[in-house]
Amino acid sequence: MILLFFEWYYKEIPQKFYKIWSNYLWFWGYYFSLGDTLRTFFSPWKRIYENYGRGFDIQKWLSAFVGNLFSCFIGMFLRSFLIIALLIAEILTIAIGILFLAFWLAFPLILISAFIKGLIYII
Amino acid sequence: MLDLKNSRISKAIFVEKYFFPGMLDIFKVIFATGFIYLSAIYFSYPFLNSASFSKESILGAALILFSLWGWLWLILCFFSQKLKEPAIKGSDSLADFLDLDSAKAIIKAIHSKKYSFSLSLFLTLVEMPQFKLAFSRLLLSREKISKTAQEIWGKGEANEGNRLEEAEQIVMSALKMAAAQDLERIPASQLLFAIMESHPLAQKTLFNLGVSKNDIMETILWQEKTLSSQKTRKKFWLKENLLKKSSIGRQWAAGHTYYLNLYSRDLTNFKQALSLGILLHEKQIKQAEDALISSNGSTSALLVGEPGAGRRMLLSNLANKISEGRSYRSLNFNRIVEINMPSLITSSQGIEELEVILKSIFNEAMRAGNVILVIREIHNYIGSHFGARDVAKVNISGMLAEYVSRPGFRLIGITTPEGFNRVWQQNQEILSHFAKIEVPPATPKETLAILEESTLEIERQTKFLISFPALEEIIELADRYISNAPFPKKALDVLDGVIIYKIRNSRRGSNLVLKKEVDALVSEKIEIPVGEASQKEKDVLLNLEDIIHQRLVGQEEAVSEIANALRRARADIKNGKRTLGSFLFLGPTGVGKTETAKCLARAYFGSEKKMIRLDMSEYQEAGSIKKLIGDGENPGYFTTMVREDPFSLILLDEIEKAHPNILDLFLQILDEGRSTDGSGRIVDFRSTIIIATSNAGAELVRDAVKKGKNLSEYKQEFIDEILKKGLFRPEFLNRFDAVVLFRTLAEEHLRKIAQLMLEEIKNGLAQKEINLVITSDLVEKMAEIGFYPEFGAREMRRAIQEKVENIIAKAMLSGSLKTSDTIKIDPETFKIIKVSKDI
Repeated sequence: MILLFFEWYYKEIPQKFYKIWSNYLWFWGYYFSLGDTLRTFFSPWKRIYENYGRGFDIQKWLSAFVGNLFSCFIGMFLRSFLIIALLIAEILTIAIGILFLAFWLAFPLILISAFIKGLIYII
Repeated sequence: MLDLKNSRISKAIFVEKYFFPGMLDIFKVIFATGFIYLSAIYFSYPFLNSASFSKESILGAALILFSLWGWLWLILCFFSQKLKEPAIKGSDSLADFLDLDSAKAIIKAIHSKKYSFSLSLFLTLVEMPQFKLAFSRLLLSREKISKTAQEIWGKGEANEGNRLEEAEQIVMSALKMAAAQDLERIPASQLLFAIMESHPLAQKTLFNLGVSKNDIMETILWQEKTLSSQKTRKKFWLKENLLKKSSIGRQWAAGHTYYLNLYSRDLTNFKQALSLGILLHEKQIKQAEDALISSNGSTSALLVGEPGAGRRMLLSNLANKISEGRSYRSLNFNRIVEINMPSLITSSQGIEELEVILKSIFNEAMRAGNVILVIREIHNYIGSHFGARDVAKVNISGMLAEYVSRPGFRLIGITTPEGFNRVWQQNQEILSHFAKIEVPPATPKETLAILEESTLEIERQTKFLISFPALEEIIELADRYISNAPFPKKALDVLDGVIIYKIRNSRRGSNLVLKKEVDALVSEKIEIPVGEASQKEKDVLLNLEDIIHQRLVGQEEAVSEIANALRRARADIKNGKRTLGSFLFLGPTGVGKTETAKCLARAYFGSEKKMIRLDMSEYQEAGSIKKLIGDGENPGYFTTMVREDPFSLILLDEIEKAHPNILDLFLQILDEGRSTDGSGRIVDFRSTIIIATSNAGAELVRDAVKKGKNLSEYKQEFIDEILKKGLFRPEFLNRFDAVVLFRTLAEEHLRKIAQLMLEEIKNGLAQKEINLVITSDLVEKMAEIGFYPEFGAREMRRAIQEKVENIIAKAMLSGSLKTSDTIKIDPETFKIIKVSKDI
């Protein structure tokens, strides 16, 4: 039974934890739609763009060009926020994961030392 | 071999036997509380004046309590996650497949000194707390089940060898049943099912309790499904739960949809699909997905189904599948957006503005790249008919034709079979761009699953407990008596109605919703007694002959034949797939055939108004069938009447005059209890009584009566004769429950008829406080005037109207007749004679 306990504690639970952890690492990618964000990084914001129209009218062309450039710029600006938020979320998840795993592995030792320390204090 | 001692689950049994996890749990709470308490004292130590312990010893005790709590927590987690659910992989021992509860039940039954193995196992399983709710739903108490089982089994002892063998057999069959349901382990429920399935005494117990094995299985599985889905939902870290959150970036990548947002509802945001995972319309969902990614130029689909057949549920399930990324890659995470056409039409000023907005919506949807549009009841906006029974004078077919062929335009139209026939088939060009997906009504089994799902929500809100027999009764009655909507809607409507009925009547009653309440509600709704016959209805049925004879004179054989047929129908002896009763009344004119039908309508359906009368001489042409059942364009008179009120008596006068094609239609109705109308909808006749009348061969009946023949004995001879003459086809006559002969009336019958009719007038006058004295001379005279041998008593009513009713009416209008007068009529002159009150 003790062997089983160790197998469960040091193998199965970390495996389960890894699964949850990777779920969350994947989830942030899904939540902030990394693929779509990168694919459309330079695209106009909300696909808003002006048509250049038929023929060539320099004034109209310039107006459309500037408008579209502006739309792309806004898109890039906002999307970069999204990517930053994604990076922060991923870093936090990794950090919390590592901390939790370290704590879990050390937990039995912590409990034993707490017990011994407690006894020492009382005695 | 069932080796429980060395099975993997034996460790959990050992722990449970000697370490009492329940007790450990209590200690865990005590330690945690102690730790928190001591920590609080430790940190507030400087502020405490009278401390009897040193700060270190308080810290020491807190640390020890923390350590003890931690170990207990770990041990209990280990017990519930590892020992209770040991790995099964690689095991070939039968015992390893048992879960903890099952293993404990088997061990207890094997070692029982008091009962035989099967009884002990049955009792142990029945007593398990997890089945309490399921048995309550079935209106069974566990004490009652145990008592019945003990009575049936008796106290048979069996030797040890037999017990093990028996255990092995039960576990083996439970394993097979569990495997059929994709279960890894054998839960206690599967053991219970196995014993119910295989043990004759268990089956007998259930029989005595008046419950079926299937009902128990369905109820327990329903409960287990609910629990497991709740458990899964709680595990927020699972991918499937994380996917339920919508993502932000995806919306940013898609195009802006200003007008669409203004006039629409995003179905993707309504996570209303069923949480028990009911697999309803799976095939249709798949077809819709295929249509939306089709590469043949158009990516639109048309859902064709009756309102209430689950079209909305289908869309909602599709929306969920797409929003959770379980669909095709190109569809995943798209938005399903329903255009709110009524709001769009009412808010736009004129057709031009509407077209401009709709065009903008279509363009936005295409440009956004992640939008699947939905238009509900799309037939209302298509075609020159303007769909439209006046819904809106809007025709978007031109615009649709322009867009549906464009790549990237995805639309799901929702329509009805009637709308499809009326509008779509006449717009073949647009139709060719849509994949037609038929949405059939849910089956009774699927509807039961949907009811179960709704039940949980209703119970949460109302604190009622809806019994399983009540749910089954809802399905049964809705299937049989409600035909104006398909499953699941009609069943859900009845469920809602029952809850309202229960709330209305629950001041004194219990909170249990019973089968009889469903019966009461449905009876109230359709005005027909259903369920177990009430005392009043039983009286009507038992005395049907007398009730009919209150209004009908003579025809004893005919009335008794009809009454017997109806009693058979009500006692459910008959095949429930046909009409309640079908009769062919044969006999001369004016002998009471129609009157009998009226009496039956009143006795059985409560009113003469519940009679649909068709004069079949109007249906002599083959084309006149359209008048009855309608065509794609217009609804039929007959089918509409039956659809609106399925509890009717259908009277087909002079059936022999109808065209053979029309007789064929009735042949099918008599045979199957249902038919299809001109627009393809099923019309249910199972709650109707059909009576066809004919005076074909009347002269034969007249001769037979003259010769003093007994009509019952003469009937076969008569039928042979009319078949020989080709008046009816044999297959037509055979379809009726009874062919009933009506005899010509004798003089004494006519006197009684005159008496009855005069009494009707007397009763009418009595309400105006005028007393009419009916003398035997008057009755005699009326019988004489009203009798024409070839018309039977048909002329009687006319004669009484002319000679009696008319003169009384005149007298009342002229003021010569006043309240509280007592009068009689002179049979010779037909003048009113006022008499003193003491006559």
